[in-house]
Amino acid sequence: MDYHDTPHEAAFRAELHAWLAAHTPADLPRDPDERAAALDRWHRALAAGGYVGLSFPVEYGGRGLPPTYEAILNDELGSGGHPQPPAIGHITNAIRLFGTDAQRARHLPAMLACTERWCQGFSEPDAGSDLASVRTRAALTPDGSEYLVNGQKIWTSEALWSHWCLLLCRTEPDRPGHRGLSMLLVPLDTPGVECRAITTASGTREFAEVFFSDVRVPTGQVLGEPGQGWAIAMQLLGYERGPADIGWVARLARTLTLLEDDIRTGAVQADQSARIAVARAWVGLRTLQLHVQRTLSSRLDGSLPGPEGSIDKLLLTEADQLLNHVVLTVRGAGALVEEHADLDAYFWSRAQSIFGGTQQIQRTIVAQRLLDLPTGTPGSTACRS
Amino acid sequence: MLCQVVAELAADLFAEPKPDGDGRAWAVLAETGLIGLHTSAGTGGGGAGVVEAALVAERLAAVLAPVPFLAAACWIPALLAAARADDALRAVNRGTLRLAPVLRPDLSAPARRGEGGLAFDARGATAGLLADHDGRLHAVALGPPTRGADLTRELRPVASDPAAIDLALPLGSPLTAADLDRVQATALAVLAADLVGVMRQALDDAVSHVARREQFGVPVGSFQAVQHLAAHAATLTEGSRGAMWHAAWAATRLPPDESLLAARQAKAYCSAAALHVVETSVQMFGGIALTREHPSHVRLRRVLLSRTVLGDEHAQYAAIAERRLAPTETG
Repeated sequence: MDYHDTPHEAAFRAELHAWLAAHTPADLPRDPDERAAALDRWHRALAAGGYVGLSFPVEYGGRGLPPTYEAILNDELGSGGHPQPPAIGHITNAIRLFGTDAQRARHLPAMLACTERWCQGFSEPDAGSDLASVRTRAALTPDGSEYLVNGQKIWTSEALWSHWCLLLCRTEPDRPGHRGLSMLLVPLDTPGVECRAITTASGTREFAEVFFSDVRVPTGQVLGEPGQGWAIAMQLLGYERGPADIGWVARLARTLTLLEDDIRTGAVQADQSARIAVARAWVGLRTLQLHVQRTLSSRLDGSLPGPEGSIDKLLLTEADQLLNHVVLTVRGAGALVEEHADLDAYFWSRAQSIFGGTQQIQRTIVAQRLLDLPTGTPGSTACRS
Repeated sequence: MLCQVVAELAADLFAEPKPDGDGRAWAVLAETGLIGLHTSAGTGGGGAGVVEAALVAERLAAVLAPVPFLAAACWIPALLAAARADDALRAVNRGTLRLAPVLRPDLSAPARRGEGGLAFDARGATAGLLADHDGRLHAVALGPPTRGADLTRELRPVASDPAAIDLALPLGSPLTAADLDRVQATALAVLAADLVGVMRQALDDAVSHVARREQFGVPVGSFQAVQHLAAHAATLTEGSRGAMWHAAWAATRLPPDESLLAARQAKAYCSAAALHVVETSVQMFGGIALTREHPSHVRLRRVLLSRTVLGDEHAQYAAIAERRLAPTETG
C-alpha cells in the first residue's frame, strides 16, 4: 500500500484543515449535560461541513469515499487536539445493511446530519460478555401488529441524549441462545421506556440503564428479519471494534498531542524517564494507527469487518491503557490536584478492556476464529454463531 | 508472488543446516536477483523498494536462513548506492563481492573509522565497510568470527586501527548526514522485517503444536489460558507487521529524518514484540523448546541479536523522544 495521500486525499486533508481552523470548538465543558450539548453542536457542525459519513454510500447521504478518508479525519482531529467525531459507524451500517428502503430513508439522513441520535441496547444485567443470554422479551400482540417489550438494558451509551434505541431482544422465547433474537428500532419517547443515568467513575453520564415496561413497537420496526438479531449484532460489533469506525484513534491522538505540546513548551516538566515513556506511548499509538490504516485499506473493496476486528480492538486497548498510564505518570500531581480531563481519560482507558467485548472475549475470538485453535473445554467458546 | 518464490527458495536451500559455507546459497540469491533489490537496475539491482527487500528478509528470517541477507544484500547496497560507488555496488549485486557493515562494540550504531567494533552479519565477507568522520567509506580487515549468541549470523571484530582492504574498486563520494539517516532507516526497517519473520513463524509453529498436543484428553490449545497467550502474541505480530511495512515504505518515500523516525518506531515495536512472541512460543512448546533438539533457541538467539543491532526498543524510545519532544522556541 502507499501511505502517501493521493492527490484527492491531499486535497481533502487541506480542505479539512481549513475547515477546522474556522470551526475549532472551545474546550469541552465538564458538566455532563453541557458537555453532551457541546458535543452535539460539534457533531452537527461536522455533519454540516460534510465530515460525517465520509465512507458511507452517497445514496444514503454519505460521501461515498474510500474508508481511508475516515482515517484522515481521525488523524486530523486527533493531531489538532479537536474532540472526537460522532460514533455512529456501527449503527448506521447496521441500518444500511439490514434495513428496509423505508427505514433507510427514514433514519440514515438524520443520523448522518447528527440530528437524530441513537443508542445501542444490547447488554443486560445478566447478558454482558455472554450476550446471547439476552432476556428482554418482545412478544407479538394477538393481532400480530405490534410487539410488547418488557425488560431491562444496561451500559447503554448515550441513552439519555438519544432519540432512538437499536434494541436486541428475544422474540422467540422457546429457542435457546442466539436463536430467537431480533433487532427492533424503538423510539425512546414511547410510553413505558424509562432511562436512568449511571454515573461513571469520572463523573460523566454516558451510560444509562433503560427499562421497558409494556412498550408497544409496531412489527414494521423490526430491523432485518425476526430471528436475525444475533447476526446483525455480530456484524455491528465488527464495526464497533474498529477503532476508526468509532473515533477512538482520534481521541487517543488528541490526549497524546496535548501532553507532547505541554512538554515541548515546558508547561509540564518531564525528565528522561518520562520522555522515554511518552515515546513508548507514541510507538504504541502509531502502531495502532498504522494497523487501522491497513484494516481500512483492506476494506477498500467494500468487504465487511470480520473477526480481525478483534485484533484492532486489542491493539486499541493496549495503546489506550499504556498511553493513559503514561499521561497520569508524567502529569503527576497536575492531574490530581484539580479536576482534570486526563483523569477522565484514564478511567475510560480502564473501561476499554471491558466494553464492546472484554479483552478476554477478544482474545478468545482471535484464538478460535483467526488462529483456528480448538474449542471444546466448557465455557471457552467466544461466539456461538 | 515474490513472497512465494522466496519461501520456496528458502525452504529448498536452507531446510538442512549447512555449516560449511553458503557459497551456493549466495549464488542462487544473486541469480534470482534478490541482492540489492532496492537499488537501481542500472547498477545491477532490482529497481524495487525497501518494501520488497523487507518481505524477502522476513521470509528468510522465518526459516532462520544462515545467509547474510540483511547486511550483504540490503544494508551494504544501501550504503554503496548512497555513496554512488556504482562499480562496487555492481560487484555486490552480482554476488561476487560481499561486505559487512561495521558497528560499535555495543552494536548500537555504525562505527566510525578509528573506533573499531564488530562487523555485523559478516559471513563470507571480504571486508568490513565503515565511514570516516567526513562520511567517506572505507573497506577494513575483519577478524575471525566471534562465538556469539546468534547461530545463524556472524560477528567479526574490527580493530580500532584496522588494515585497509584494497577492493580495487572506488568506494564513491562521502555520505552526508542525510544519506546516513536514510541508510540507517533502511537497515532498521529490514531488521524489523527480520524480527517479524522470526516471530510469525514461531507463533505459527507453536499454534500448530498446541492444536495437536493432547493433555487431560484434549488438545492443550483448547484451554483458554493457552489460547490467550497465542492471541496476545498474534496481536503483537499483526501490530509489528503494520509498523514494519510502513517503515519499509517510508525508507525510500519520506524525507530522511522522517524515514528514520518511522524506522525507529517500527524497530522499537518489533523489538519488544518479537522477544515477547518468541518467549510465548517457548511457553507453548514446553520444555523441548529449551533444548538443542528444537529450533526455538535459534529463534531466541536471532531475535536477541536483531533486537540489539542499531538499538533495542529502549534506545529507540530515547532517540524518538529526542526527535519529537525537542523544546519549542516560544513557550
